[in-house]
Amino acid sequence: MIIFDQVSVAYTLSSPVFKNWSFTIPDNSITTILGANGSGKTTLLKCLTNQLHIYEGSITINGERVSLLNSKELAKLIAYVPQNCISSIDYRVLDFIAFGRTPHLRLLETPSEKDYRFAFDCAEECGITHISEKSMTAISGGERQLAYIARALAQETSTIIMDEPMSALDFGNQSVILKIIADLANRGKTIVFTSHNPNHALAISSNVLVIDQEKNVIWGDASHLLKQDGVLAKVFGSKILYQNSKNGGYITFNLL
Amino acid sequence: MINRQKKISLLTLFTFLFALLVIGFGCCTIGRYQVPVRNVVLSLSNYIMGSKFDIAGKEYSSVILIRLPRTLMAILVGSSLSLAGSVYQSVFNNKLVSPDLLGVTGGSCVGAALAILFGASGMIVMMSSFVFGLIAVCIALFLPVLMRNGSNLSLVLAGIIVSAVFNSCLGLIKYTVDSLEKLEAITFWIMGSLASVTMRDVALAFPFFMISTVVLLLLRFRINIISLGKTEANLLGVRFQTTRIIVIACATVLTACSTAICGTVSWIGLIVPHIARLIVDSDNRNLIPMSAMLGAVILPIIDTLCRTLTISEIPISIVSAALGAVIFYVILLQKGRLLNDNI
Repeated sequence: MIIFDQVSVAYTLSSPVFKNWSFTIPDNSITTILGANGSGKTTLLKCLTNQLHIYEGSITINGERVSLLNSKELAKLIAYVPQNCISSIDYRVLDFIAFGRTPHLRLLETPSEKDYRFAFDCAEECGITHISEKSMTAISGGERQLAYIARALAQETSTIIMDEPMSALDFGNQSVILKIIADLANRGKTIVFTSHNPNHALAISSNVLVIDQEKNVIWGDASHLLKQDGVLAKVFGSKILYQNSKNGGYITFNLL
Repeated sequence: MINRQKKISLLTLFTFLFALLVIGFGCCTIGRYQVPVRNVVLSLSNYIMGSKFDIAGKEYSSVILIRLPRTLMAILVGSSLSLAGSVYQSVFNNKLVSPDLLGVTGGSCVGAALAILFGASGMIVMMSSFVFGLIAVCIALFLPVLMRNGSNLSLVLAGIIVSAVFNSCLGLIKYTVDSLEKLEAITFWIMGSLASVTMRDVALAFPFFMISTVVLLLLRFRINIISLGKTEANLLGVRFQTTRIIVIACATVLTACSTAICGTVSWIGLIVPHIARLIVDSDNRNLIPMSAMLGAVILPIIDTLCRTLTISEIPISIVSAALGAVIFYVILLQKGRLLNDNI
């Protein structure tokens, strides 16, 4: 469970990024964070992952205050998939996934046979066992994204946070990632990810955390919240439309 | 099929040890002053096992007092510089980095030049060089703290600044030095040589080399994580700043020690990790030991070339740079198509 209680962040005094945000993300759920460019999505994830310490208020994960945790303790609570999964070093994919075992290792320990078996299971869950022997620099962007997710799984945390996991992927790969996210939630993980496409939230009927242009934040069920009059307009402007259809709704452009 | 991380095999390890012995023995045998192989063996046996074979004094002293310490030191320095180079390249996630990135060589040269300027020699020059090398890196590590920026880029820039300042100091010392003799001494010192190395130097430097090497070998998996950058390393539960400082400190001691003993040995720290990557992958669990092993066999060969190619000795950095540059191009010819801006 992730609880934001009256959290405010300001890089400069005159223009706060956000003010007094309070919301609760329950266990075993998927939450898509939606918001325009510059609305504070990344800042929010930075606060949540302890990369930014200048906020007021409190953030707790499973009852632990994030700001009081050291990096090892935090790495056992949440796993993080960064936005641009670039890799300039040619580590073998399976070795890379096994890096996720680090928080469970002692200072001078290296991953054991057991850790590698666990890493391989994580690769299997992401459907990338066939590339596990390849180098991280020799696989496609979609495969690299999956390798990062597998590494996050190898951390064995209850919560996984992803920063725009689908921003660089083609349509087919987006569906692959969405399927994996849905499967992980079914197995009891809590997933929080940011996205620029509200249809991602509808496709896996997740919850959404909507940041509107006045920097108010609402958490709720995607299909309910996005349908409501004016919510989408408040987030993305008036050229966005919720369209009803036989099998649920979808969101599209209204350029006329 | 689950393949654990590929390890350096026992066969490779034994091949290395065998090569090291052969090359070590070869370096003790080859030289301008001819000593028959049999007498080299007997000299070594006299020295190591205390046997009492009858050897001509000149032969014994050229093998035991000159060639043996040189060879041993070349092994230590070669493996240290290569190891430090591969560590620096991983920490800064940049394969064009060499161990003097943070100004250690510039500092060491200034230290040695200052000592020579004040008329010191031998051990004092060595100490001064070592201390100044460490001071230079400490300054480079401290500058980003004032900038309130812990990124690798700020550290690299600090290293450039420190190198520039120390190099200009070096120029100033050379310019103001009062005798041509001292100027010559400084110049030769900078170009590097193992000529004056004694067994005592080997014994003195050995603990420094060993402790740093062991720490880096033990931390080799953590160095993988550090190479992913600050954010990812922190979120994988590794204290990025602390680990990076420890790793840089050990690599710096290795480099400063090497430079203090035999001046600058250019290119070894840059090239050998690249050769190692041709044999093993980029995983530091393999790369770091492989770099150390390769460096240990390559530098004795270079040093032997230095003292045998011509009648008078050639400074080591001249041979290492010339050979290194050529080898580097050969590697690029093979791997060049894989080059991109992320090297």
